[in-house]
Amino acid sequence: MVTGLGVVAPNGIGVSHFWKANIEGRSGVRTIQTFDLTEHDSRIAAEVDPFDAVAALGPTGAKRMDRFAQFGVVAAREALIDAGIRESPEILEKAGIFIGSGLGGMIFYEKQIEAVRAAGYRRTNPSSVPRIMPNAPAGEISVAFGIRGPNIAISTACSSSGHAIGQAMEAIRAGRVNVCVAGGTEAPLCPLTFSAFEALRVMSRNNENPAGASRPFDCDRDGFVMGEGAGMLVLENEEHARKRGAKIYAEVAGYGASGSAYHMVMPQPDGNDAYDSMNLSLMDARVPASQVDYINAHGTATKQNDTAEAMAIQRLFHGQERKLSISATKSMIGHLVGAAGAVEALVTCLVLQEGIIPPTINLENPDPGCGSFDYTPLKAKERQIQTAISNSFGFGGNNTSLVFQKLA
Amino acid sequence: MERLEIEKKVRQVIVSEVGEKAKDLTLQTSLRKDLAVDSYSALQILFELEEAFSITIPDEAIKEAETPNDIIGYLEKRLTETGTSERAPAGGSA
Repeated sequence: MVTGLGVVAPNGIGVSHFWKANIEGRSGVRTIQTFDLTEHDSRIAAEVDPFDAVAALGPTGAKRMDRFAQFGVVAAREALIDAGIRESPEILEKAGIFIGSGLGGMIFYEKQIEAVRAAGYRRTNPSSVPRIMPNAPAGEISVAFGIRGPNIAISTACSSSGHAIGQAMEAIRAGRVNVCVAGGTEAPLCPLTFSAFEALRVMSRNNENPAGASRPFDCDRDGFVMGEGAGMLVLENEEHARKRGAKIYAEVAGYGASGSAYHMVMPQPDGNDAYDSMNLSLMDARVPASQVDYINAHGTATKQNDTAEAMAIQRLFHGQERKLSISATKSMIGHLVGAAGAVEALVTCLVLQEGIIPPTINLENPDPGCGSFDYTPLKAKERQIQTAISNSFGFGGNNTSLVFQKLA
Repeated sequence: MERLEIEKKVRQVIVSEVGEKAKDLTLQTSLRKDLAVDSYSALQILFELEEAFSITIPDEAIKEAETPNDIIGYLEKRLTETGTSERAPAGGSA
């Protein structure tokens, strides 16, 4: 069961601000403010601003952590407060942590390279390792809240936090823990990471129109917009949640994961790998495809992803074109890399709870190659949803799908 | 460098590392007992002192220092010996 939510996103910090921005279709994309753009062809990103790390974490907390860990702790705190267990040490000491990050502490990493290049390797900051390592957020969350169960980081590129939620669910199912903080966090906006993705020619160069740049499933899409942020869910064994009278957003009913065995940075063109992960998640949930009402698509706005994902959806949900709603959160907040799956899972939980589907903004000219599904273009739609899938696919050929269901 | 200036920088480094615990910091405060400075925090303090004074400090110096006063005494001696900085400050370290 999902019993708590927390988010730091480019169009809103905190679940209520974020959700309002989503249903209003507000973009968090803008011209990059945080680093010099002289050497970059893509000059837009979804930045979290304002984010006052000192106010949120105190001066020593802010100083100790790189930005992705800061986001992670802030989102985890909100989720724990939302779940009503922030002040319950007896629950927290037995809880687990599963946190995805695709890249780790890249901002600090790049600064360290600059520092040692200037002054020599002896000038390496002793806090480099605990700031850069991809499990820094998991460790910081454990320290901050006294969580003493399994403390695990998952790094599978853009599917990291989808996998983290799936693995947390499995730990609960297996009876190893009753409660988990599960999610992901990423702060990739520094010249090094940015240029690495630019070099792959996968990022939008629609610099003149930042809010209109992320265009999943649209004919005029030209790549993804990079974003930063964190999403955290508190997952809980049903009996445990009911016994303490917890508010329940949704059930994580199924988890599917597949490998592409095809290419390091390209999906299978026919979407077979995406089909597999969705199909496996439904099998795990014991739910037929015909029951699915909504898909929060991976929808990156690259030509390759959107076409392949649409083909997979078409194959699995053939004949349900009129019944199925789809939307792509990345149209508003860009691609949060290792945090994307968690923030989108969080959106999916809110869709189930609120009966409103946030739009795929910028979908003005739907790509006929993406089928005739309702991608919820431009405006939010009121619709009661019972069963939903959230997709996350990543470089390295990782695909994961999560099935969420509203409780009867 | 004047003792007062050294003292100011040392205080800044300690406060930035231990935060709230240093609110009643005096020159005689015990780094380990009162401020819970462990071996990891001590490394960070050493690193930041090196940055602040543009010198290299041997690990032993910080291990032997019990109080801010000990650190200030050490730095006074070192800075008098060398007169000027040993090296240019590192840029970009956060």
